[in-house]
Parts: sequence; C-alpha cells; structure tokens
Amino acid sequence: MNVKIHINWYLQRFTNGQMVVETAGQNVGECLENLEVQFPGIKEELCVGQGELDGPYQIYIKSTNLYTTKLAKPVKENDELAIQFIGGGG
Amino acid sequence: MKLIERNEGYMLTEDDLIRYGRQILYPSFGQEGQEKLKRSHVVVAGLGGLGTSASIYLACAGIGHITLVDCDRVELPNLNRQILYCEEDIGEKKPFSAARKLAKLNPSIKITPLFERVTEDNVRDIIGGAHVVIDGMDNFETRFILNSACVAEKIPFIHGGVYGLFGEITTIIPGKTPCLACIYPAAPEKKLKPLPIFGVTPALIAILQVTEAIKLLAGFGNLLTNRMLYINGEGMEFTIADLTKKPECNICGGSKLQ
Repeated sequence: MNVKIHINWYLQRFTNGQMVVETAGQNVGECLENLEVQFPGIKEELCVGQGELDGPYQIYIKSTNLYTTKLAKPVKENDELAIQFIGGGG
Repeated sequence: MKLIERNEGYMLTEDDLIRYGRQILYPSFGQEGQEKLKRSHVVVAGLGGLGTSASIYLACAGIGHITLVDCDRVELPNLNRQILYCEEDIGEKKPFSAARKLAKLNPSIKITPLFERVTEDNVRDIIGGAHVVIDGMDNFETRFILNSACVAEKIPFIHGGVYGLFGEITTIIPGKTPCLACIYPAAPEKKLKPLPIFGVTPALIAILQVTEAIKLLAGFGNLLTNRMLYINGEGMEFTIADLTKKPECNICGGSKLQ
C-alpha cells in the first residue's frame, strides 16, 4: 500500500526538509521500516520498540491516533499518516 | 465531574461586578458564569512555565479558590519562562512566592500554596474537592499519578506539555474521554532531556488550558475533548488529532467500560 506520511517539523532534519513523504507497507510498522531505508536514522529517532513507539512521538492515521493497535495496524492505499512530537515539559 | 451548585455565599459583590465586568459582558458567560468561577476550586499542579502562566489568568478570571502545588524553589534558569518570579525570589519556595504575587493581583480570591511533591500517597488529599486540575508538571511520572487520581475522583484534568517551540493540550473528562494513560501508554520522555524551552511556549499552552477551564467551569463553549491540539511554533502549524480510548486502559477502563 502506498501512503503519505506528514513529518513533524522536528523530524524534517531526516527528510531533507520535506514535510510530506511517500512510502509503502502493509501496516504502520512496515511503512516505518521503509521510511528508514529512504531516510536513515529516522527509525532510531522514533524509538520504535517491540511493536510500538516508546519515544516522544505519536502516530496518527487520517488524524486518528494509532495507539490502540500499535504498529501492526494495517494501512490502506493512499492513507495519510502523521507523526507528532510530544512536548513533555512544563 | 462535580456540578457547581448555586450558593448565596458566593454571590457577586459590587467590586466583583466592576472587576470582572468586561468578561461578564460576554453573552454566553454573564453574571451566572462569573458566579460559577467564584465557587470553583482549581488545582495548579506544578508551578513552572505552564503553572505560573495558568495561575495568573485563573486569578485574574476570578476563580474563587486556587491551590498551587510544587516542590521546588525558584532558580535563575526559571526566569525566562516562569513569569510569576523575580530575581529577588531566587531560593524561595515556588508556591509561596507565586501565592504572594497572585494575592496582590487579586486579593478577593483564596489561594492555597502547598510546598509538596505530588506522590501517590498525597495526591488525593491535594486534588480532593477540586473542580479542575491544571497539568503544569514537567515529567510524565507525576502526570500519570495526577491522571489516575483525577480519574478516581472524577475531576477533569487539563493536560499540557511543552518542548522548545512545540506544545500540546487536551482536556480529559473522566468517564467521557481518553485518559492520559490511554493517550500515552508509555512515558514518552526518553529523549526530552535536557529540555530546551522558550517562555512563549508554556505561556501559549497555559492560556489555552485556562480557556478550557473557564469554559468547563462556567458551562459554555466547546471543549478540546477527545482531541489533541499540537502547536508547532517553529513552523507555525496548529494541528488537531482525534483521540480514542485505549480498549483496555488499566486506569480508566478504556472503551471496554463504555
């Protein structure tokens, strides 16, 4: 499945400033694997643990949060994903 | 969520009508809205960039009782963003320094300063009886403690977080919206330290938190519930994402209980 991923400003240093990138995969995890091939280092920054993100990021599919099904969530053709950065300070 | 009931002891005074006159003019708020604020108790948990900015606007708005809780003393690096403190306050306990300034700003409200670390043992004593808790914390460990207690006590919890020029906010209503443990299954702070921050970022998020608190307490407007607002000050992008409950959240019961 081909998808678009909206890249948070903080991660655009990995995508050469691109705000939206295209990649492919059957589920979110595969899309992130392919994103890493295109933009080395981004997966480590995202802190992809065992089937879920454990760093300061959230992933949304069509503006709806992913966390209920983690990275195994299947994607559909032309889905749009967004990676958001979580500010944890006060 | 506790309903704020009418009580003759909290009727507005002539001074109140003058002080709050410009917001009383707002059609969906009015005197009734102001009376509800006067009867309200808000806990500001954490008195850093978020908490100091939030507490100023809560006090100005006429929240009748504000509890301020923090376990730190004022330090020089705080002063780029924690706008209730001055250089002469360095070394002072934050809740007492903040309470002194707020009492000058609005002597007609009650302010309770608590120099304490929020823990699982004391959290219910701190937030008990409050109508809203404002998240001004700088770490997720304590946020999760507050979230669990707010869920148990059915107290709305207005979450805010900041980093550099980024921030996020959502309003959590126990039983109705995802709780913080639904939204963040794991504490997302591995890469957050040392934490860069400009003063404007917590100020912006805090003002939105107080906006939510005023609407929630006075009972008007639409709340930022079931949604997260992400603010990117560097790119000047404001994004809203939908939130859903985690099916088996071990704090709020998640969607399985609904």
